[in-house]
Amino acid sequence: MSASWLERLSGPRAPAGYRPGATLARLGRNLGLADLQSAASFTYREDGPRIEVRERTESHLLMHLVMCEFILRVPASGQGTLRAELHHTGMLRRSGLGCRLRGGDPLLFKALEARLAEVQTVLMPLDFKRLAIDCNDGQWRVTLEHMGASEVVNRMPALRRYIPLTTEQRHHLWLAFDGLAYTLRDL
Amino acid sequence: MTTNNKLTEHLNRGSVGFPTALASTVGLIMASPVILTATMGFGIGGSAFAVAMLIAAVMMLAQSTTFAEAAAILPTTGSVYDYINCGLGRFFAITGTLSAYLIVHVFAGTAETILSGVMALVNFEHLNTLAESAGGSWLLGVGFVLVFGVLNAFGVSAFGRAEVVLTFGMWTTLMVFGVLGLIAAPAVELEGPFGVSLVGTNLITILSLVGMAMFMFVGCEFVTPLAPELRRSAWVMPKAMALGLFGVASCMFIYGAAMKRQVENVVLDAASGVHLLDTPMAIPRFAEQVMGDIGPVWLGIGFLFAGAATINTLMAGVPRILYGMAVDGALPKVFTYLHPRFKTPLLCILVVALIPCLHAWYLGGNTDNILHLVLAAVCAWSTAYLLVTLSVVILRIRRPDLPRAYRSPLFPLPQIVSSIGILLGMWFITPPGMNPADVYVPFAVMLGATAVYALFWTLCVQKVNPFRPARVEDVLEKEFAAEPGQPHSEQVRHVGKLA
Repeated sequence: MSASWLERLSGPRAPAGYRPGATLARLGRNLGLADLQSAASFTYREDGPRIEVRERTESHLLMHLVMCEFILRVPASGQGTLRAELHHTGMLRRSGLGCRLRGGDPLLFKALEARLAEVQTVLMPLDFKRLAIDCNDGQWRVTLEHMGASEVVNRMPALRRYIPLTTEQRHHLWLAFDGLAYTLRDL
Repeated sequence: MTTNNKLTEHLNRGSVGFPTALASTVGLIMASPVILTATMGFGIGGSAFAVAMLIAAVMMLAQSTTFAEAAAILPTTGSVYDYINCGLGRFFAITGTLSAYLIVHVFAGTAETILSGVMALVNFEHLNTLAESAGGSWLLGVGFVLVFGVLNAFGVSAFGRAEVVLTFGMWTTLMVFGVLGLIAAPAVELEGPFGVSLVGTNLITILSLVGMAMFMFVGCEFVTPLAPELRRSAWVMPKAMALGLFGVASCMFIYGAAMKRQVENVVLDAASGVHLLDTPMAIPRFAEQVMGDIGPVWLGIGFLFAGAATINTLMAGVPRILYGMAVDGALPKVFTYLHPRFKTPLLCILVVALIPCLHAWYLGGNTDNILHLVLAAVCAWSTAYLLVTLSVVILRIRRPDLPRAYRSPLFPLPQIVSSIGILLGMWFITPPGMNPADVYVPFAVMLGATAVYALFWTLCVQKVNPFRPARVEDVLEKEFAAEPGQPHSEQVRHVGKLA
């Protein structure tokens, strides 16, 4: 009895008032894609890569945030494992792109780092909060969390607001996925 | 599917149950301004304040039936805005919503900033002396705002997953101290459970304490935005609001009676007539009396967490909302600026942090101003309540055909009781010895500015008739369209055109 109470209190739980799929549905309408079947898995052009999207929540007292993670999978040409994170650098203005090794093969990381210059131009104007690149089981996986495509659900003050992915940012996002898919395919 | 069927289905769906709804109604019980107002109220009014609290509880119970009916007709996430929009039109909806949340937070947020530090440190004597010599313990509240502002600027999330524990912890702390204070031998000889009133017991005096008493129940309507997420919301919501009000009222009565039994309300300053219970110093005295040395530490830590969590909520949520408004074009584009690395809306965080800090600094962190701020917040909050009540009454008369899964019982008696009570509470809001202008002038200025903004926005930006009520069906259709799996007709048309 007490163990289940402890588990319920300390274990992972969805924030109060979280509606799974609601933010994803808003994103679906926000994407403005004519033949969109589901925002959870779509392509942004006919021969483009398939993008998966899943929701992630962050709890606070009397409020929570729902963020959307965009996932791109690309077959890897070589073997090896890698976990890397990309971020913008700069104090007040974006000055470049930083890459950090979080685990895996350092040689593969060096190879990835060397190829990043190819996608720097398309990643610079993109408002991504997190960008992780993993390689596992012969497959590259890019996980990108954008500042837009997220929702604030506040109960004090009682407000709910979806932060849209603007047309301009959508354009940058598709360019970034195109660039990353092209770059990672050869690695 | 008809709107009626969709509404029934919508009301029965949801992922949130009764405990969460109840937690929402008592979520702010240990906010520092609430506790200080309760201490001051029982100190000044004694049994008269207890009567005022009973009146306020009955009014709020009546008001909760109105909110529950509104939420049953319109279980939307827009809550207050949608209720007033359907009853009275967009002008009143914008004014009422900003009044209920923004103006309340300009006043109550500043009060929380000043008091969270004062209430936490007043329980730790040495730290308090140190803070006072450094400029005042209120600076700790400003420190909280700045720390949580910086943490949010770095994208760090605090208090994640702690909501249920915090709410339960706050309510339990107050109940434990209250019950122990009641069962311990009394330190003060009292006439009756709450002692005599220092300001008289006539009707006008009691009415002048109702405004203060209403602040005890701040936030009982915070559960209404949860309506779309609640399972069987028409059944759960009124019960959660009523039980939440009962829980808050019983907790405050026990706390007030215990405080009066254990702390002598001695005169601290004969010239100004300040008594011990008018100041935050009464809290550690009470805690020590009830639980010895551990009491002030427990209560101090409780206030520290409650204050920090409340401020963190403001710092985490409001800047993102401002950012979203700027992305939508409702605010200048400069507010869309993001930190290069952490992608946090720095300017929005800065503005949200500066408002309570500068307001607190302007007031010199003086706790004497807290009651003015609290009462001005009550005026703003009451205005929104009146508008919601009026909207529900208008909808009953104009649209008796609307499906109502919950109907306010004995209509229009609860609406008359709550509205008369709120109007009397606003009219007599200043307690004896306070200048009414200190409350009414800041409230009127803020309300006037809000009304001007609402008129400008509806007439010049949205270009709509500000006083034409929205159709309930239109608002519901929009809400249903926003649900998962439901295609949005406007978007479908737009996409069709693009294709």
